[in-house]
Amino acid sequence: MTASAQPIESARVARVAAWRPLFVRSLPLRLSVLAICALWTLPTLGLLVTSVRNPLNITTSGWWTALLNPFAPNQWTLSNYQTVMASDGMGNAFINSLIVTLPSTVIPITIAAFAAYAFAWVPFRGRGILFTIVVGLLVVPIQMSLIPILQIYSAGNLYGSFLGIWLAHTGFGLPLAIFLLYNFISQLPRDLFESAAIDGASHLQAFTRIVLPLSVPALGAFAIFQFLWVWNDLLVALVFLGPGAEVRVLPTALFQLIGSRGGSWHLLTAGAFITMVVPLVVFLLLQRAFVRGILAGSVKS
Amino acid sequence: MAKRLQTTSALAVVVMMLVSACGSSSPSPTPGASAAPSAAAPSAAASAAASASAAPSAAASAPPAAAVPKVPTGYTELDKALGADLPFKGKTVSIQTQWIGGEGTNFAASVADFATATGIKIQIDSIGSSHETVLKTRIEGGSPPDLAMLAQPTPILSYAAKGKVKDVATFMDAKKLSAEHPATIGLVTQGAHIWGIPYKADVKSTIWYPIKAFAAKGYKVPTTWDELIALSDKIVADGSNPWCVSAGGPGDATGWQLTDWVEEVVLKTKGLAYYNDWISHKVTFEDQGIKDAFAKVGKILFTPKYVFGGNTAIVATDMKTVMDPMFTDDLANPKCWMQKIPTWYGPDFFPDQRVSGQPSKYVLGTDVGIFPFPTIDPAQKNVEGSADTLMVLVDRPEVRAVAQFLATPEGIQNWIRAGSAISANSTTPADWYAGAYKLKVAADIANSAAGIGFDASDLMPGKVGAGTFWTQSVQWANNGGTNTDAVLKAIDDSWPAQ
Amino acid sequence: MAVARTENPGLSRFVLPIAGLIGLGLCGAGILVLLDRQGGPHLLASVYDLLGNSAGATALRNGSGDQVIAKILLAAIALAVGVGGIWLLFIGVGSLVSLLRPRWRDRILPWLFVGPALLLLAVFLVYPAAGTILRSFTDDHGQFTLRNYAVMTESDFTQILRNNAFWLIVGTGGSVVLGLIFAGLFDRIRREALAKTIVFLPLAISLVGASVIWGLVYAWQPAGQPQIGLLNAIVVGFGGQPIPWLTTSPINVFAEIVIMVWLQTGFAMVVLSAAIKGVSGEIIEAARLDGASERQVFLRVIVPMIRGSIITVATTIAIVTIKIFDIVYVTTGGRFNDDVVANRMFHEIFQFFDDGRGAALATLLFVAVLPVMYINLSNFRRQQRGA
Repeated sequence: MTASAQPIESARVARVAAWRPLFVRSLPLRLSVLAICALWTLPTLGLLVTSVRNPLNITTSGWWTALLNPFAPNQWTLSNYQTVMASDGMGNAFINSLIVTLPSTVIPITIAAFAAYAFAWVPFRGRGILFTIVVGLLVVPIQMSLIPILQIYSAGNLYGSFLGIWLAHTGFGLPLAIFLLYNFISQLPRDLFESAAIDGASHLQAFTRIVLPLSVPALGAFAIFQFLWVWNDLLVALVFLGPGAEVRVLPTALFQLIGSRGGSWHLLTAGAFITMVVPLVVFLLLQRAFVRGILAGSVKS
Repeated sequence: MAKRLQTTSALAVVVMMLVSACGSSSPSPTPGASAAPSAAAPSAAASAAASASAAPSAAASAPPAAAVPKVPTGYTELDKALGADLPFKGKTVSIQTQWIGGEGTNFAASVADFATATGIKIQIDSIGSSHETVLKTRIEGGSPPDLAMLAQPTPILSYAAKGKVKDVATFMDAKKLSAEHPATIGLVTQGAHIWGIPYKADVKSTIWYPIKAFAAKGYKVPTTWDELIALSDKIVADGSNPWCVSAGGPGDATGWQLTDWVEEVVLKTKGLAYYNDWISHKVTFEDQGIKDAFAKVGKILFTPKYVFGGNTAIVATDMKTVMDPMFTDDLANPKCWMQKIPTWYGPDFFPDQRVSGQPSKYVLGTDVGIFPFPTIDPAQKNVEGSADTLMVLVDRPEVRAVAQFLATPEGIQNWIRAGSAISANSTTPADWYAGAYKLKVAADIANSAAGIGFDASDLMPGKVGAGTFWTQSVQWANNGGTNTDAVLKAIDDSWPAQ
Repeated sequence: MAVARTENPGLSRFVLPIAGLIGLGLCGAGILVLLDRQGGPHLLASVYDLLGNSAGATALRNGSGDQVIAKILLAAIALAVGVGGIWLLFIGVGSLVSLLRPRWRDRILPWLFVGPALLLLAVFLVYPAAGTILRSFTDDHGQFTLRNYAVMTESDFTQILRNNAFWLIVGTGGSVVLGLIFAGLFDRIRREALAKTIVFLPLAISLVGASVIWGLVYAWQPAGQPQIGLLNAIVVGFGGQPIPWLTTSPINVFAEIVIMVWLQTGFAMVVLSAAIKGVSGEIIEAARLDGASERQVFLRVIVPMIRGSIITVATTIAIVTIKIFDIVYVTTGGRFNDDVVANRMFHEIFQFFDDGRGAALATLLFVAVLPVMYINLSNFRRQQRGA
């Protein structure tokens, strides 16, 4: 994590440097940031500690007692992780999750970026109304869509196919994607597009040469949200891919492992952490994209 | 609806048949000494995931013959499937169930031998707690599994009304099917149509307790309500809490244990006819008999110190961990002494096996025992039961064959061998149950009953049975039973208009 | 993307569309492989056949052999088709359209840009939503009725609305305000990335994981027993009685809202932080030189300048809270006077098999979001005018 803080661009250095004279006065700031981080981490810390505790202790004592007596015998174990990792088809489920998640992230971003650009900068009839409808669709509860969509899939032989679930995640993710990207793209300076038009650039060129590079932070932000949503999704995967071993994704596999009646916290916690690893890596990678985007932003102004 | 209710009383006569042989061979209802440490071993495989393939896990421990019925079986496609030329070899049949963990393993073992013998690939879609949601979506979305298990008859009839369920009477001998599942088939029969095949039965009138701790304290297993109350008082006087109660849970299922309590008491105070009228709402929740039942249940739930943790614990405790206090100091010093929970409960819920996945060190019949819910009105010796039913959703020859297989006793034989299931088929040989403590107790209970009532909340309209009856019971427990009248009125008000 | 910068415009005018079309053809073939449930093994088997490895091919076709390689092959195709295909579609067809006369080009291009989005939205959201609204006005036999809306007359419905109002106000307000404060604070520290990662972390946790995490916070044990829930351990540590957070109304509603705020603040923070970084340093510097305190700079300069982003975030989170379902569903099932509209809708459909009432509740959700949409529409109009 410290590594990601290193490539600080000049713009940011300048911003932070501006605060230097206030170093002493900024002590409350530092303390409050520390408090916020502690508060936000505490619940997750409980998850982490629980996942490496002896399962027999989990329901009889609080997780912090393990931290207070770290050297007690039989306090720590990795068996929870072993159980989860060693169960049938986890590797397969992991690959399936990647197959489902990556296109389900890239496709909606691409489609939404084009649409958001058009809504923001390409005049055409009815775009105000269309945009309002798109935003309004944010409210459609996903549960209401499942059965009608599955009916279409059943007729089109898309049930249980990766193509089907990409399209579903794309459809469900589009309103938020368009909404967020529109908000960003519409605030780009007008002069950029005017000078591009004078240079004879088409809308397609304006989009690929101006909008995309400048929108990296917004694209990155949405990419993270969509990635997380798809990666952690259970319901849509269960409905459109089904629970079969061939196609099941990580959350489905974990859910089936954990069980309803015999389920236990020790596997839940370990499983939750295993699923978190990939999203965390993605977030840390895209953090850099944010920083790069800041540089672009400072150039524009 | 009326049709269904009549058959419920027939249920009484017949679930007992399925276990009668076993019961009659063991006259002593006193659990304890003799039972072999049988039940623990098989469900031990619990840690293995509810894998989607029918793993032959039972094979290693089961030298006896494969659990496959003998030809002729009386069913056309089943005979064909078992024919020498294996006509269905390589075909896939999918079945969606709610069973995962230990139950999932047991069901997988139940179909494994048949899959091997016929070459049919049986794909088990285990969904766990999202079972009903995913099933409804798949059925109405037009991509149903070939077969599906459901615990409640109400949705099965609802799917049938929408034309989504195949009538098994069209490809199975209805007479044979009805004769072999006399207790439960009526719940899914409408005229000449049969919408499902009862598969697994459970007895709900069971109370689990620590045998050795009872003996050490000199507590006797109560056989009447008064003895039950006296024992509870004695345990309180000895400085402990007699009961572990959880309203259910986690999350969505919260409430079903409370309705089981009320149903039990209604059956044991007012009898089967009244019980069935209650299901059809001829008797309302505000009827005096139901009020009395709530009062009796309230006596257990809300008498100070009766329930470990008090009424807050009832609604705040997870069903999975509710009996953990009983296991304090290896069952030597129970913090609670009794839990009413059906026969599908077992060692896979005990604290050690639940977390390790290894066979529990606590042996059923030696360490943990089960006794029948005591009689309240000696004239009303009824017990409560439930069943899982198979729906046929797609009609193909190999699907028929699997459905027919699951209708035979062999369809659940390996689960019975695991000491953990009761077949809904009354022709199941009694000696299959021999040696399994839990099943023997269940048989004894069913055998001594005058009638068996099917879980009422599973038969009431969903709005009540999976809705207000649950939620209002939870409200009732959460308020310490002070709002009985309001709760009963709210349930009555929610009953759907005809 | 880079192709648009090709040096030789005359050539690229035709090469690009053709390359795009070939790419699209390849994508089509890839989709066919993906639609085949055994596509991976079959394709790899064909490759093995070509290489003369017939044993390996046969094994694959029989469901054994190098299944893992087949899976990875499938994953590669999936990525190539899913990721590359969509770009080819836009760039390829876009280049084709660019060949047209400017008049036609300018008419067609906007629809090429929004077309795929509108098509997908129509199928995946508009069609089901329209069906839902229609269903809410019909009974099981397809006759017009208003009886489904009787769901709103049930005794606990005012309570459901009250809970939804709590969610909307406290949940949205909490997430946005905290997200704004955090974004402002973190903007001023050196280890910004680390702090942001920590606050963002909850978003990476699945719902099942989150329910366990908060189970470990809210867990309740009878007084006298060791508390395994963090909050009750603190309460008992100070000599209090353990409080059943999730079963006591109305504390439980707020206990659940805290979970959502914990999850969504990271979202608000990330978006608002990106907006704050868009505020030019000179403006801030100027304000500072004018003697404005840090708080004043933040409240009077930065916040007004990112107003649009704040509205965006608030809208998004408001809509999340209006249709809040999963947190309630996994913590209590809404059984302790903490029910909300979407959870009741789910129960009506999947537990009670009353699709009509479920549809009525969904329609209610649409209506509830109209004011939020109105705010956005006026914001949109203002921006269009300003732009």
